[in-house]
Amino acid sequence: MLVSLQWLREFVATDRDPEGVSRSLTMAGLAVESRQTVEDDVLLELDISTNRPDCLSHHGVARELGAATAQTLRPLEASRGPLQESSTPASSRLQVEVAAPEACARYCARVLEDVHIQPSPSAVAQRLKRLGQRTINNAADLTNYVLQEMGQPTHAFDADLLRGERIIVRYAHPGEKLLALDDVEYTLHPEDLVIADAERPVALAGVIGGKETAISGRTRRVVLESAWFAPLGIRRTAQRHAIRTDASYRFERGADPLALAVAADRIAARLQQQAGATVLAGLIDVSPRVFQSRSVLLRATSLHRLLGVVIPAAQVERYLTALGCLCQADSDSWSVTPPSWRPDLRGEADLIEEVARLHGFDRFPSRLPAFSGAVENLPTAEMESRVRRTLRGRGYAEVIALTFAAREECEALAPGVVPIAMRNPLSEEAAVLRTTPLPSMLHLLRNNLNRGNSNLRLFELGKVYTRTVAQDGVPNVTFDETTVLCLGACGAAEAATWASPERAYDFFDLKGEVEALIQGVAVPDAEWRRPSPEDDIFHPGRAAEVRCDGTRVARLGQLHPELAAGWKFKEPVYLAELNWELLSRLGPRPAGFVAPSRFPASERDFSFQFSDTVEWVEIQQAISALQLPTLNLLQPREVFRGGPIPAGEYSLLLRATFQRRDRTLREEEIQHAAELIIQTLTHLGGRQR
Amino acid sequence: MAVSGELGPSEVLALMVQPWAAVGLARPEQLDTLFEQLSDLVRQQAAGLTSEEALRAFRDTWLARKSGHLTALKDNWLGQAGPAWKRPLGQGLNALRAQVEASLTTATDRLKTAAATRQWDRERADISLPGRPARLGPQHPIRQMTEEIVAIFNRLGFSVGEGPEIESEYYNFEALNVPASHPARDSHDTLYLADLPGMLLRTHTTSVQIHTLERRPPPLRLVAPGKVYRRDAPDATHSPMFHQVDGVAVDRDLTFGDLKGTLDYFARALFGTSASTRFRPSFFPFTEPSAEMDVSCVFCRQAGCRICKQSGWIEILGCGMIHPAVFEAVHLDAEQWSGFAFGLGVERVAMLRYDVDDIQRFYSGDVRFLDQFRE
Repeated sequence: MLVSLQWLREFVATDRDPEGVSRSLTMAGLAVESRQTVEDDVLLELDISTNRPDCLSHHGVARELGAATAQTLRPLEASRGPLQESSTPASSRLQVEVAAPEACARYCARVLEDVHIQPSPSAVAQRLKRLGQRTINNAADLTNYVLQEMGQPTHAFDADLLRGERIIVRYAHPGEKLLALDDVEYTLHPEDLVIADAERPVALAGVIGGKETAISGRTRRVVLESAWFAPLGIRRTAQRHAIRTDASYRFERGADPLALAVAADRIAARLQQQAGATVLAGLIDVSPRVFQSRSVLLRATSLHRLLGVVIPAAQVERYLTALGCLCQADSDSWSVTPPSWRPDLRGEADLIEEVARLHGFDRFPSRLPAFSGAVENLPTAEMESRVRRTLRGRGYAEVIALTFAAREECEALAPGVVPIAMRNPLSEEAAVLRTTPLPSMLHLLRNNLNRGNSNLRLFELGKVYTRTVAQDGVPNVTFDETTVLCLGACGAAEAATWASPERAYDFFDLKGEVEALIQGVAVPDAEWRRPSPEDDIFHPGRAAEVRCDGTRVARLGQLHPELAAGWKFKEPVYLAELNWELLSRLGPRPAGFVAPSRFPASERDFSFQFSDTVEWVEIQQAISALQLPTLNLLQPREVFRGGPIPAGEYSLLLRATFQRRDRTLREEEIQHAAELIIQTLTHLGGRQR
Repeated sequence: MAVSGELGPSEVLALMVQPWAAVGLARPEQLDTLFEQLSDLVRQQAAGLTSEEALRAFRDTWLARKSGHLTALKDNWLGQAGPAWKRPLGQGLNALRAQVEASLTTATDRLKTAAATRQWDRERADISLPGRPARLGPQHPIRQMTEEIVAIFNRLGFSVGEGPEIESEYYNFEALNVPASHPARDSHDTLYLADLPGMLLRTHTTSVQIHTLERRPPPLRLVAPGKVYRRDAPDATHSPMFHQVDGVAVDRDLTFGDLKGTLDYFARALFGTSASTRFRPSFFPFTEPSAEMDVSCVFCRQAGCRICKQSGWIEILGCGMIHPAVFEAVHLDAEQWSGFAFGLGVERVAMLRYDVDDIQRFYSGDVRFLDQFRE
């Protein structure tokens, strides 16, 4: 909120310079965001928190300044001009009925006649303009002026345009419309509170006035409304119609229920002086509910317990009194009656805060509290820090992606998984919570490629969000957020340098990363296999999944060329998605070792030619089925296709390492094992080369 | 041929193949001169051994079993000389053999060294060329910052907790004393979930406080890092998703002074011991008294700069004493327990620490940005 220092000084005589005033207000909780000198005045931009509607006016801010600097606040009434009423009672010209007392606790009105509508006098106009307010005419400007001055929103109607000389505060009828001052015609909702005349709504109560009954150059008679509307209803109406006005902003935070008459009278008095208006006798005051202030008990022990220091009783009383509270002291407590403008002071803690704030937060000594508990980390922390170390060591950069995605992206990359949609998404591209990390990863890879970055290796440890839809008449909707690990890579595994040529990243680079990650986990039995054909987000020949106890813990592969084309990738993109929640629950692979054999190892190489239909896994399984006690390690050393090898076949150079832990092997043992291996390979259809 | 006066190398060589009688020495002392001359000859020849061939020739000349000089001397001189000459001749010959062998060793070593040096010279690398790049992934600045913040609070006895991102209105708002339609919800523009009635994306990790206090009896100290969401369109300072660290401490007699002391320690640990803090009143529905903690601007040392907007202070976190309504929500007696809570935005601190101009960089995945955070 913008306030004028000149205006503030009308209410509180402070000798501080603008900087001093700013500091005092900031340290009292009214943060001064900026300060700007305008001619002979200084404007302060204040950040007023939602609990302090009383500070949404110059008089309210002056009260804070006075309390913070121990200066007396000049009461509003004292600067009010004399009000001379005519003999005609206002009630003879206007009937007010409050049909919704729960939404409008009190409604005051004044009726003025012979009002000369004209531009505001320069003093009023200048102040409003400085605060960035539009000036319209003297009557409308004065309602705004009093709003800036004391925070009470009021409204001026052209009395001659109110039909039936009646005002009814009621809820809107279904389908009723109102053309408002912002030139928008609103279709009203039955929960909207309206000010109506005998026939129709003339204002959206506490939010915005109607255009048809607005003050104009032809206006001669004015009805001034000064009312108190319940915050919740105002807020809902303002939100429903997306209107935010100075009035609604104040009402929804809580206006001062005892300021209504003062506000109406101050406007009336000024219209009398400035526009020659005749003020009809009496304030129309319909008060369905009488405000009663409640007292709050403040105990000295509570103050001490929470603040840690003893503040002398006299000081406590001075702080609270400066804010408008009535303090009745008892032996070690006070009965405090907060003022009508402080709806936020409801409990003891509220009063403790007021005392602490005016005492000055900087006056409380800092100390470090003792503690005798244990410090526990998240159970997942160790595993997460491990996976980060592993991947960083392998050149992967950690990324953090927004967890939103477009629905189609999720459906394409995680078919059959039901996403959770946002009710009020920011955009279609961020309409749902991602069900898979792959869309985010693809976006980040593509962003990098578009910026000319290549040879990418990225990983993300983040969540995915899914729900299960009601089935078979079960109305339950369950949802889940799960931590996943995602890897994305493209370009070169080893970039070309002056010393060596480029080596492109391929499936086996990715497989190596996933193997390393899974080896770090206490996975009982990881089974690698080709994904089922319906899981078709990867290149059909370059995809794998890892299962553990039948549950898929990872899927990986080259993004399907058709999908890649759709995403406008010009090079192969490799992706892996790991169910990290599940893997990390298994815990890290336990530490420990087996002593290496002291006896020498012997190697034998086997060169065979196989049909493409025979895969490594079969060869491996067949040889391991031999259960050779001497065989220590079996490795594919070379896989070669082309050249002299006919299409559909490949040559395999296989290396077996023989070693025992208890003794040196004899040549015949190795020979025997080698023969068994040759037999096995031949049996699988291999031809020795 | 009689030995007399100085002999040239060729004469000495010629003498060696002569029978002893032809050498014609009169007294044994004359042998010394002769062997000195032989020794000079070896020394001269050894000096010229700069190739494998020369080395081989030298070895053959002197040491060859049949035709070597030493064999000739042994056969011709030692073999034929009379008993009085045997001893000095034998000594002279042994010394000469030792000299030849030593010369050979020295020359061999010298040749090996020279060959190795030439080899190494050929293998010399241009060490000014760049090394093969080691791929080491960077640590994400947000991760780095979160870990640093959490580590500081660990030192102060705070454990780490977490809670769900998909949260109920109750945990996100109501239990934290923010009833429905409270204007305080304005500053938390919330993303609601269409498919899950009453559920939303948490707007702060403060909700973890409630989950924790419901489950674990105090005394406790806990920080909860995590992702939070607001319905803010992305720009240089806003993102619909960002990270927060929220903290809570509950004990029998925690005071406002404990809050100040704890957070002041934190600020100095994070920004350096020269940093100072100030606490000014603020408003959060779930704390009372509530405060904002400002840290003295570490960029300008409070002289006033762009970052602190000329104020000398930078707003770092919100904090306060736990509101009685929050204790009530978790069924704790506010008369028995007190505590404080705080929350800070990780992106904000990271932006200050690294002078990052645009919050979107953190989520861009741009490796040109990320790679600069390599450890």
